[in-house]
Amino acid sequence: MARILIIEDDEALKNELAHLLELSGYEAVLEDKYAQAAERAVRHDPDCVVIDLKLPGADGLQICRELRKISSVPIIILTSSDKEFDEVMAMNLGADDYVTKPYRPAVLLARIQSLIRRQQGSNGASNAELRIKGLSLHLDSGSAEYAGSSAELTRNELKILALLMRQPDVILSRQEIMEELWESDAFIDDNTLTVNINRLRKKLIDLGLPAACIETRRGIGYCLCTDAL
Amino acid sequence: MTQPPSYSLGSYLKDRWFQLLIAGVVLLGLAVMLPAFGLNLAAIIVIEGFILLGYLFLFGSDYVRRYRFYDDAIKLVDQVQHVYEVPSLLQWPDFLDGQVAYTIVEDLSRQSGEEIGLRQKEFRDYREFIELWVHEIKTPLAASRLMLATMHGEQAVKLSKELDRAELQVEQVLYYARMASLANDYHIHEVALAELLKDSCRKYARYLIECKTTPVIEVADSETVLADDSWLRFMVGQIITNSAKYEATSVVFRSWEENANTPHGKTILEIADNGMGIKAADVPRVFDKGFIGQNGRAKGSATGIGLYLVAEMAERMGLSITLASEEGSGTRVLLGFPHDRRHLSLTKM
Repeated sequence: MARILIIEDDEALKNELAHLLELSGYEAVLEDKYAQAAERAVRHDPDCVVIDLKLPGADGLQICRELRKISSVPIIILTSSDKEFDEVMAMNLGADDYVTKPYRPAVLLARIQSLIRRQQGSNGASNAELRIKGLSLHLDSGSAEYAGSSAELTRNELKILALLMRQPDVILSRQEIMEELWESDAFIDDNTLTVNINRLRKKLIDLGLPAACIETRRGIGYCLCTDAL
Repeated sequence: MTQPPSYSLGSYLKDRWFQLLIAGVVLLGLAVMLPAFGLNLAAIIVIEGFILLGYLFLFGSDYVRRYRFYDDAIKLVDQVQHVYEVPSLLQWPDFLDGQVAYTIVEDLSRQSGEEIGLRQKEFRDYREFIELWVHEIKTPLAASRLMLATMHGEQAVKLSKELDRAELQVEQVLYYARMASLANDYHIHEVALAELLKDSCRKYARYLIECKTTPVIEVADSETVLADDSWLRFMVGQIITNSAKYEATSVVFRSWEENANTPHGKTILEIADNGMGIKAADVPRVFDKGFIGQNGRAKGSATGIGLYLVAEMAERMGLSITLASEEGSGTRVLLGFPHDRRHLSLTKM
């Protein structure tokens, strides 16, 4: 399980972020003192560090700079400033990514996930494949494989299936799925989502999966049922 | 500001009409009286001539002294940016009424200068407070957003909508404070238009999806315009969230060039929605500060600030903006980006 260190002094924000990360399958470690945070951060041996910048130019950037001197751990900066200046600063000081408040939790999670994946990728482990029971999804080639046969997925279908496979047996609302697709510039509407889901389901059925593998919960959303696989 | 009268010889003499009259009466009186004392013509001419010379010298030197001071003052008023700077650039006059005027004007200018400085400082403090406040409010908003991420159901959706509204309002406050201060903290750069539009749609994704509004970006990836990146983002954000708020199911972005390769060449960005549209009577006033049209009143959450800020930003950056709408069928906003940098308000490049 990947360990995420959160450096944040706002009580509510810190706890909620930790809660969300834990629900998403990460181990969250908290650090609320900004003094010597860099040294303590390394001791936690995190896979990713999230630092709240607070006010521009304040402690956050300092921590970022010090942490970068002693570790190559991925760093994400959270800030409420929208000035480009801060972005440039954060990048120069060694941050890997940057999210402005008020951020969408899905965006933050996606950024953390991609940083960790990149880090693990550079360490040799490939994470370009998702696998649940017999169904595997190759993220690079965009093909799904089941029982020896495979199907090519479109970009949207790939995104949707990846999203469902990352959180199996969890109902994802249409809103959440659409937000995720919009994140990669596929500004689809409600009908297109239905069409995409139906097409994806048909491809999975053609692979030999039961129709119930992607379950529709009317008015709520969709869910990848592991029991049906 | 009223234009001061010019300080010419003519206007000076006109102003001194009474003294000139007296002088005339004196000369005339002497011309009548002196022969009665038995003086000959030559003596009278010498005396009259002598007195005339005296008058000439009196009025002449008086005119020259005043002319030097007042003409300087009048010219300076035209040259300086703020009239209150005039006294500090003016020579101390060598005649009494000039000194009186100078002292009063100097007092006035010092006081108003202090007053302006004070107000500017107050305003700067106020703006800084607003910016700080916006910073601070974003933390509880972010925390609420995180709490909401783990909640589901109808209540969560409603709450999420309310949070969206709060976030939109906070952003308006920030830009309002920035606009109201006279500081032009913008920088005109070449901006990749399609990427900026996609970014804006991503930024407001949740709100747009909730409102069932779908963006359609038909702007070529290679299209660039000259504008301030963050201001343009704010403008686009205001326009598309308005579209979503007023029930559009699609917002289409298109761009084209007009008069390309001429000094008046510009790129037009069209943002067209199919929302409820704006009543014809309201259209001319949508960019007015604080104006809330029929739609806004019906929806009940309008402040009349969003489009005002959009128009204000466009004006400051030298962009043209027009809005056309038909009730019941939609609204189109056209933004015109001049190609020639000289047509843009370029400050501090």
